[in-house]
Amino acid sequence: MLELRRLSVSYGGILAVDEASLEVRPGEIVSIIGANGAGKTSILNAISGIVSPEKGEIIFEGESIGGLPAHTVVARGIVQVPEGRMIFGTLSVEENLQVAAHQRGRFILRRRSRSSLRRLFPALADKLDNPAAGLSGGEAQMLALARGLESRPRMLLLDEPSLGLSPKLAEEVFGLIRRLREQGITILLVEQNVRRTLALADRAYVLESGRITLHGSAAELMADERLVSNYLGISAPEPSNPDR
Amino acid sequence: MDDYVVTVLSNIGMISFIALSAYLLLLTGEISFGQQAYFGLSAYAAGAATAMYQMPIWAGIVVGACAAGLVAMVVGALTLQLSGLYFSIATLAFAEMARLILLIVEIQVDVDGEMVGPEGANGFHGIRWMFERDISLTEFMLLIYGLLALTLICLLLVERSRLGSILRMLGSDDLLAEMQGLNTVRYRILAVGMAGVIAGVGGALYAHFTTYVEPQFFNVMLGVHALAYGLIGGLGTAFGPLIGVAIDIGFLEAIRFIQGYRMIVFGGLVAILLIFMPRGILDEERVHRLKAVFSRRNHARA
Repeated sequence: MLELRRLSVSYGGILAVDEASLEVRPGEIVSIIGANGAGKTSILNAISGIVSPEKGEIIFEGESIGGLPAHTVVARGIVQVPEGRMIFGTLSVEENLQVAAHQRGRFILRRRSRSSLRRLFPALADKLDNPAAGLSGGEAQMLALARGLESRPRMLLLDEPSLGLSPKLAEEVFGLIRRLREQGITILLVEQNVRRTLALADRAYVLESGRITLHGSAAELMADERLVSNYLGISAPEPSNPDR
Repeated sequence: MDDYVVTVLSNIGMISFIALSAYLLLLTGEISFGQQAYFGLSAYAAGAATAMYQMPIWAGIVVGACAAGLVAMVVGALTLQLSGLYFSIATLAFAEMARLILLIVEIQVDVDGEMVGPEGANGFHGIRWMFERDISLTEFMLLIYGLLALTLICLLLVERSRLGSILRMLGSDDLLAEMQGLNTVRYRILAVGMAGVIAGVGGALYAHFTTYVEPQFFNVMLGVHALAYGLIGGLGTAFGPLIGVAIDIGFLEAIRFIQGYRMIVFGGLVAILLIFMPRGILDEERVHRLKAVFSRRNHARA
């Protein structure tokens, strides 16, 4: 569905992503794992058109989309939910959601999406008229996700959706991601929470200083000694039964 | 009503247009120091239409507003890559350029044996549509407020619509807006065009109200005031800038004894409000709260 071929991204001559290649197949959850500054967000930004790739290709459903303006990438069905629960604080929850609704147009469809909103995000459905600035951290992340879904994406790029959330809320977000996949949305997930991410993802790529150093199925990576010592070793201790 | 009151009210009405114009751009996050250019440009274009080419006033207003809107869109397209302070300075530079051009433009046509048209630094005399048709100041004031109400209704409808949310999104984070699939370039040009048209309607009315316009009137202080009205009155609703105009021209003008100190009081008021109410009296939060109160009341009634 999505393929990166030797993608390089640089900012003012400094290489952030160095010939990264990866593939996401339809219906998969693929994760990019890496430390801060490894270039994870740069990869997502290149896919969604926020930055132009310096070299390499981004192929989505057989067409090259590298360097296209961000809004046309959304129209093709890729939506990025950026890190840090970015919402429009001065607008109401409903207004935050309203904007993307045009991707489908029709009023009836909008009604239907309201009922699916109620199902997926019950906390938001009761706060449609509230200013978004007043939402809690968890609600703001839910709103960012809900807004991403309003454009009916076929592929979601999620950038650290559990960042800064309590373990319980993070669990809710991960549960939601699982449900989105069941609805047929392909997901490329960037996360720091490696253990939980590998429990969720089908496959993962490990990014170090802009280069992909390791990739494989989640189960393979869980068994990889190097990864375990580098990433799981430093991650916070998890409850004894994290995956249930 | 005596002529003085009618004149003050008419001024409030006409200046409200440029206040709404600056407000619309403030919503999209752009601070324009150049909306006076569209006001002035339209005053000249509309004046030319009625005084030089004997068009009816509605045509003059349409010509003026369209000219202002088109020029605004061209300037908008040129300054699109700029943001923040750079955009503000570019708009100021353009507005001054336009004013200086008007200072040297001399086009005179013969109307019934009299030469009419812009005369450079001497201004543009003889925009006498009102007097030729024996229209009273009060009648013209009603025309001003009719058009202002129409503009306000349009803006309020825009604010309630998806377009309104989009404009506010541009104002708070245009990269994030682009990520939502919005063509931010297109919406930005649309916004500057709309703001140009609104300022243009005010300018066209102004030319016909005063019968005489000169470039000096459209200097940067007019644009600065236009911005201040939105910042005083509030950025939460289109009523905000109107409150700003009413406070400045209505209240301060009315208090005769502070005449000489008006700018000091006005400047102080702006400074105090920016400290305590950075987004004005009717800011987004208060508007949300007011809306909640009203909808609760309506629910209770129903």
